[in-house]
Amino acid sequence: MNNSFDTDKKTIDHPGQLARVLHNCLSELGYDWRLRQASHGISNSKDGLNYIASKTTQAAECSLLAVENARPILNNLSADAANLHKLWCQIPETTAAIIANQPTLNNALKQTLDFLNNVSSQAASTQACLTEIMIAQNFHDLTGQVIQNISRTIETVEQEMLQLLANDSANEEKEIKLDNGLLNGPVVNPQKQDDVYVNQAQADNL
Amino acid sequence: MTDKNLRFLVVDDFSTMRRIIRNLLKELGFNNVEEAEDGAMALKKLRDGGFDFVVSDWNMPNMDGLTMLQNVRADDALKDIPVLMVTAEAKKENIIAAAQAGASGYIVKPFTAATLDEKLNKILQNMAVHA
Repeated sequence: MNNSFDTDKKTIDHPGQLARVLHNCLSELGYDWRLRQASHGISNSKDGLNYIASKTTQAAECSLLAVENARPILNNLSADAANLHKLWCQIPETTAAIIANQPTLNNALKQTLDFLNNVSSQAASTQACLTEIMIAQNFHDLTGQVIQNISRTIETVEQEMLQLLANDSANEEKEIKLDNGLLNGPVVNPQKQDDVYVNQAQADNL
Repeated sequence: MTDKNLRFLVVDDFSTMRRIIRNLLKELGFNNVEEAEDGAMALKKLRDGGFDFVVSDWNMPNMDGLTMLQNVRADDALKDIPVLMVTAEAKKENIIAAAQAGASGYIVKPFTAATLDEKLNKILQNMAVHA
């Protein structure tokens, strides 16, 4: 009777002890530290994605605004050139005959008229280039959709990671040693970092 | 000859894309363009009346473009309005689903100005024939 009770107890205790040993080993190996580091990395990645989203939005909007501003300028240029061309064609015949007799003046007038004539076709070509620039901004919609998808995935992974950390019995605050190399790229979140310069003046002062 | 006063509704959750399509329509001579940022807002505007043509994205919050299209086709007052889908969803199933729901045309992003022009004209020609 006693003997059977001892056997049962051993069967129950043994896996428990193994689990504790395993947990301690993993802790000693630093898995919880790695989890914390990964969690920090995820937070950085989220900042990075937000940075990309905001920079690409700025770039696309800046390009669209420039295109929208340039169009009426080109239209005016084209209309003014056509108008001037028309005015020159309306000069009285007697004046035209006088100019025709002055080789230098005549040459200048001919070149001016050719130039005015070409302005509208060149403006049209430039408008086509502007359309290209404008339509190229649709990268913002496409990359934006991909970023949204990645953000959702990261959000899920982060939730699971936080759950794992919350389950970790050793819940004491551990300092995360950051890898402070010299190849960190653009500062994606200056508010969270006190060791970076956000403008040229600060860099110049240093 | 196409009526340049046609009233367009451009539906997309990205303001950049709405702006691009609005500008392209302007280049094609259509200046009467309004915008909506999802299917639900688009349906509301459409039900307020006065629109002749819809250019819509698919993937949007609140109500996606396909659901909006199905609602449009199920509504007696709206069912004849052409709906041109402009979307990054490029799977065969997507295109079939859109066609089954009654899309008038399907453009995959990224697209060119020429593609929009071509699809738009094709739909407008059909409209003229059936008018």
